[in-house]
Amino acid sequence: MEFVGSSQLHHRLAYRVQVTIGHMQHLFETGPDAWKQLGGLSERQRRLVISAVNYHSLIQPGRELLYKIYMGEDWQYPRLTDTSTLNGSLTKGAGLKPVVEFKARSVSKPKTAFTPHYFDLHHQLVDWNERYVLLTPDDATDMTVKARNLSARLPMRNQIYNYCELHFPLLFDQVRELLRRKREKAGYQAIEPYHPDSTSDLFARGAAHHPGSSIEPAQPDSSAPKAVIIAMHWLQPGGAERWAMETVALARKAGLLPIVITNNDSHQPWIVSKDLDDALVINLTFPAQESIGDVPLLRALFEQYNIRGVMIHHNQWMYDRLWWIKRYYPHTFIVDSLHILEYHDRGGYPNQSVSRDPYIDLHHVISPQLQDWLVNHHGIAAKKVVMAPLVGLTADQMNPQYKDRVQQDVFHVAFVGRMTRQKRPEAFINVAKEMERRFPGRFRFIMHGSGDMDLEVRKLLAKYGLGHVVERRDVSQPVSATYDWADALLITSINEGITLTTIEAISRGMPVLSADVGSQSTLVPAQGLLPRESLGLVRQSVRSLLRMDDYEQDRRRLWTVELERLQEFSRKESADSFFTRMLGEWAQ
Amino acid sequence: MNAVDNRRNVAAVVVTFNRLEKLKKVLASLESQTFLPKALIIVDNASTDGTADYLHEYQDAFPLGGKVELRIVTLPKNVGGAGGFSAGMREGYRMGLDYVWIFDDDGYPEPDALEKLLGGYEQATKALSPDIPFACSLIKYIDGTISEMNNPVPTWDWGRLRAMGLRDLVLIDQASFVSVLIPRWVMEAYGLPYKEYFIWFDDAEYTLRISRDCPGVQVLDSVVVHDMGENKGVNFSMINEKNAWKFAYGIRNQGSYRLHHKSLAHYLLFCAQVWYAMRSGGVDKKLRRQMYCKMIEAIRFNPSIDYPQL
Repeated sequence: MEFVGSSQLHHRLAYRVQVTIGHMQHLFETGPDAWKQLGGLSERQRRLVISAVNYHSLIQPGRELLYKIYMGEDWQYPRLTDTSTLNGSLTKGAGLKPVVEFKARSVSKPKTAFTPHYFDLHHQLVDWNERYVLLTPDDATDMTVKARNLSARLPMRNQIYNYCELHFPLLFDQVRELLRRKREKAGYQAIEPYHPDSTSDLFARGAAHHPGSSIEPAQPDSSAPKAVIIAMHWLQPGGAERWAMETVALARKAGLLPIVITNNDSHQPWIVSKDLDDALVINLTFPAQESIGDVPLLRALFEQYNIRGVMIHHNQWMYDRLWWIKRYYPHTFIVDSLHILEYHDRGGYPNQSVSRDPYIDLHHVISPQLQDWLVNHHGIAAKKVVMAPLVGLTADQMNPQYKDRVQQDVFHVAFVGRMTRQKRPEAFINVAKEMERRFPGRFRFIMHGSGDMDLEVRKLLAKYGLGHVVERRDVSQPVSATYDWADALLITSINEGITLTTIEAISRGMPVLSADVGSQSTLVPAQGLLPRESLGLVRQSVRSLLRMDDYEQDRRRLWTVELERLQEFSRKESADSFFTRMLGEWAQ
Repeated sequence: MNAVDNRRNVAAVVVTFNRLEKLKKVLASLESQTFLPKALIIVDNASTDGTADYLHEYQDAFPLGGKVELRIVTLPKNVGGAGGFSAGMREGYRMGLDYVWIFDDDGYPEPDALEKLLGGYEQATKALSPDIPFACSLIKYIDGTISEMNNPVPTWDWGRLRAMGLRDLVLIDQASFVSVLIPRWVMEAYGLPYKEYFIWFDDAEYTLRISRDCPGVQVLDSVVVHDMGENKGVNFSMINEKNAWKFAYGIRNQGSYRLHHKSLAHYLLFCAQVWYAMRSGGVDKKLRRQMYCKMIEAIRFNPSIDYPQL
């Protein structure tokens, strides 16, 4: 979510999308009529089209293709680069009529040949000299996509899951906690290094259409523009994305062309950001057109730009192709930013980072927990790991004033974050339920944020009859108002690194109670920490909130300790400062 | 560099076996092409009629020396047309050429045959798809009529290119190896013809294989004359003592293709068709038995694809 009102904090913490009508880089030429037609689209849609045409222009250099642009439904995601853009299965084949149609000629000039022939496992992906791009309406969100899925009858397994979650949220979370512990334990076991498949191996085991022959890319001219690749998850709100967009700005400031590659389905709302003006943006959708042993997109980029480095912000596609970069362009500096230890998907991105360590030059982490995990548990060389927090506090923020109680007779508790499983909103609701049951009228709550659990949250609040106790605010409302209203911030997350909300709350003069997860203990002392498992968390929250309500000096003492810890933590070199220095070196 | 390469380096591949006089005419036709191939690959299938000596002399006095690279591939034994085309195409691939243009030793291309063929292929790729896997010529008999046994099989939408204003281009998915232009990427992606087929159905199987996802194209104004003995098509009712050896390969190869690349039903239907054609044609019972044995042989006969890059 966006922290729209945090004007006292460094601007990164208050990352806002500034809409622009500027042009992104484009690697194609087309007539004025095409631009006029594209002008009829929203800025987001127009930029998505440019992103798609850039991709096709890069891997089909010199070719003129007919682009047909279609408008999809709000339950779809844009299709920009995948194989449906070749065969039109989701557009032309689905009976849609193009809203824009134009020819564009690629002006990409790589040094080696690019084939127009691509194959999946069994068939050729026939190229009919046309590309079919699917856009989505501007009111499409993850929720509208999810709502479509929810409208279908769910399998019995999911129905049982949803029933348990709605009727026994805490007990059910105890079961999930057991699984979490198991996964957490697995996260500390050795991780197998990644070995890219060879072309012959793949063909031999029937995983390729035909035996490939590796393509040796060429080196760029020394006069080629200096650039940096920023590999992101997607262009939509998220902690890692805020930091990634910050690095885009830092790259440009250093005089490097930012090349932004995303690899996850999204409506990409942040593509309109001013930070992406003049950047080269590629939003990959899959399955992509690649040959075994060759990465056409990267080959096209590396042959035309002096790519000094790659910064990875949760991008699996890039993790899987680092071997290629290091094989052919070994001097490219690879930096990976990790935010949080993950337990799903066999350890998520930290796992991938460890397994690709031979291709990574620097692991940037934002919390001591991750540093410890990488170095002490997975044997990553300490000199390759840098802990640089996403904190850049001004003098005022380093010495904030304690915020007195807003109302003496009612204690206000805030939840600020996305409504997702990771943030565990149901635990927060259960704290509210318990407080209201035991002390009616003494505590009031705000849940600020939205996400894919909005529906579950709504149902749970209705079921408990907490409409008058818990106020909901979405991202259109300034978060600063919520902080102004609150006497304490309660963080119920299942997993975190160090939350920006913790830093924000402390900087605004209020204490934080937090589940003892991730590196939260770096800022929150023992008296403010809560057990991770839901039942314990609710019990302890009740005790701690009551204590703070009864004893103002304890509320103040908790905040004072937290502030001291934040001040100590902020003395470390910030990620902003570290990356500014590093990008400056790359630009030379 | 363009994704669709403008390179036009062609290797003409001629496979010959004991037809020296016809071969000489083929070579003369090639020498008079308005667009010369970059290389000429002559595959001698262990001929015993003095072809080897002639080729030796031809090489010494090659009239296109300096313009066209001549490569003579002498095979240690006769491996049939299929083996010869496989070897010649492999050689063209090894030489790094962009296309192979293949034909038998009794196909005489008219002077502008290659120029028109290449031009037609390029028009088709530009208009329709760079993935068009092959182009073939219009094959005529020596008397100027159409060659009965070399007619390609058009696709259901054969007139698509014509509707786009390209009047001499027809979409096809099956052709015989008399003037077929095959791009290098096709050999890499789909391999070479099955050399194990020896003769018969190797061309049909190969062109069907490479046009499975995107059709090939026949260029009607590229003409090659096929100097065969008699201008008539063939079917299984024509089996006799003289031609049975050839039909035997045909039945084994086609049976194998139907069973291993289509389905059991296709195979059984094919067997029924052969049975019916032989019966209605009054084919000798001994020969019929021989052909039934070939149908059975087809069950175990399933060669694997050779890739030139391996």
